[in-house]
Amino acid sequence: MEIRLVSGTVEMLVMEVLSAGASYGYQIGQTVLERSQSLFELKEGSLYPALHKLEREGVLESYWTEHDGRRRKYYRLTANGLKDLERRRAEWQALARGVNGVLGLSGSAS
Amino acid sequence: MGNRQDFQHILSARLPAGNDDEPASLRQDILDELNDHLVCAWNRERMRTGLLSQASGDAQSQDSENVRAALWQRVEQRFGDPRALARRLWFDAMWSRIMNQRFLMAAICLLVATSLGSMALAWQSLAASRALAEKVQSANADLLKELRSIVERQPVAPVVAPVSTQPREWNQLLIRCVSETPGGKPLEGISVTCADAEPSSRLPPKTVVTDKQGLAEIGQVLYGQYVLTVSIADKLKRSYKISVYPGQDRKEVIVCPPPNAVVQVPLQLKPPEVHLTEAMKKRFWYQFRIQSLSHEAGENWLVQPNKTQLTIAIDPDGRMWRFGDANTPLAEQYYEQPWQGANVETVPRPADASLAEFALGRLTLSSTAQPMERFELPLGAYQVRFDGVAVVDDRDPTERAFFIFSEQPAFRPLPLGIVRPGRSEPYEPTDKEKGIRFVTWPSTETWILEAPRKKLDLVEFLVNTPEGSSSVAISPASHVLPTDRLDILLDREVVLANVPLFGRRVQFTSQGVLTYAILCHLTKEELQKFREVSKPNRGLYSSSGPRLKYQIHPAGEEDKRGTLPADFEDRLKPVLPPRVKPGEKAE
Repeated sequence: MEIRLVSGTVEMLVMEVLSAGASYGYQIGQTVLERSQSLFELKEGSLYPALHKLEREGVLESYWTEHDGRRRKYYRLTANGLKDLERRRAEWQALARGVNGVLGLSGSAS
Repeated sequence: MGNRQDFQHILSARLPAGNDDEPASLRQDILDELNDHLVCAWNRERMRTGLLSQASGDAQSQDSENVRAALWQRVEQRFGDPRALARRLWFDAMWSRIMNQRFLMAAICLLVATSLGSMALAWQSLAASRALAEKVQSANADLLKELRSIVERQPVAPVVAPVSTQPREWNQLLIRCVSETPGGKPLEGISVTCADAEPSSRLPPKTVVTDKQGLAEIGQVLYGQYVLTVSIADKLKRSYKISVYPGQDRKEVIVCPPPNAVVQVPLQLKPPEVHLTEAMKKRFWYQFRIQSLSHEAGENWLVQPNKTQLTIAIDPDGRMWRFGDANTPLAEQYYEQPWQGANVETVPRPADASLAEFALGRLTLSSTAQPMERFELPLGAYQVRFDGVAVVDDRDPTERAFFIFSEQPAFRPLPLGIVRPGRSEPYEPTDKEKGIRFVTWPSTETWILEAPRKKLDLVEFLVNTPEGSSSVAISPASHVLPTDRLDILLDREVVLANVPLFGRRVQFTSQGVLTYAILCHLTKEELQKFREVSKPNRGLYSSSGPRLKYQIHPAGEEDKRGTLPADFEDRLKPVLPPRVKPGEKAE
């Protein structure tokens, strides 16, 4: 099943993955795929632009490491990024409650 | 290709060309990051598809091209187009810089376009200025050519120095005087004086007389403003300013009137707005005096101080009669006045002439005198003054004899018909009467001469009756003394409230009343009645400053100084206030 993510969801998922620790692009995509039980597969065409955008906005910061003879770019949340993630979580929960309420799904109040 | 797979050559295929503003590591960072991702994906696909053993097995020999192509196809299916993504990341990173560059470029283009536009406008303006300068230069050249041709037509060598284009402080000033038109005949003997216009004069005034070619060479003058004064035959004078510019000689052609120029000036009379009967209007003539003034300001040709004086009479039909010189149509006779003049004759005042007793003089119109439609005046400035009024002498059947008075009856205006005795004011000319009129050349101006009118309004007589003093006013609407009012005067002590008849203080009240009665169109019979009473009572007049008293005895009483007609009592009854005897009360 192909699921279209609403606007800003990719950034929120990336930030959520990075809240657990620094990671790099391929691993972020795999993590999202695993946590979503293969429902969300972040296309590289949207993953990397989102990463670079968040880095330019100061939400993420990056550093390079050497791995198997290649350069690898790691991302991690900044302090501002952490606050931003909290805000996005709250917004998502409110959105989910609203949508669930409309759809009559259980747990909409929580 | 072994385990150390490298896709950078694929990723960099569609990256834009190098940019000067591009950070040094940007391009490589993108390639390294995406390359890492692709290698991870490549390895994962190798493990997932079982090609790992094959690839590994072949690694020591070499992966076949088919295996690598199959792996890359699977990676690319999941990843998408890595070249496009690398290009997009590059553009995202460079977006703000590229836009800044474009804004800067656009601003530069706008600035360049504005500069070019300004240059174009400046160029247009410069071209217009050049065209104007060429036009002015052409006009100057034409003028110079015309002046030279005029000078060359004369049998003398031109005195004009060639126009120099080099700036210099001293410049040639040449004046040429011609008659009537710019191409007219040269005038010789015209005096031209050039004086510095500045208060602190740098050069003394210089006077030059024009030669046969009409030329007056002032000579070299400093640049600046000068006042040129041109005098013709010691009669006409004109002054005006000219400017001399550095490096430019000045040639001025002055068009002069003929030395004896005169201008035909038509006159129109604007009579006073008084309500006179037609019969009365036909009796009034108006006199104006025209005097020349030595006025030298402005740009008109002006008469020098030798004054001209004309006296113009305007008859009731508005026609002009000129007198006062050798061709006078009017012979003047002045009563008992030491007047001087060729046409003035002093005669004794007739004892039996009622109106003549008060008149300043008597004029007789010559039988050959003819009216004029206009008169001639030399150029100049003039003052026109209302001189007086003449009244046709009723005794002259030819109506060519007049009594002249210094001024028109000039009673001051009385609001609401009430006058306060003793406060009347003598007649003063209005500003318009004092106004200066110019005769310029050429001129077709018609002068409208106004006789004063505001002063001719009302007079009041105060009558002392047994009931007290009462006023008898003459209607301001008609300006005619009613006959019944005259009767009141005849029967009472009368105070004339400072009536300056004809601009003079009345010396004899009977004459003043009589004159006014005449002007107010009393019939001859009524006038005769008045005369019958007033004449024998002349001795009762008395003077008290501006007030004059006159006592006329009631009709029928014995009077040593005369007796009223028998029917006078009956005439007075209807109009007189009731007579109250001592001890009786008025009803």
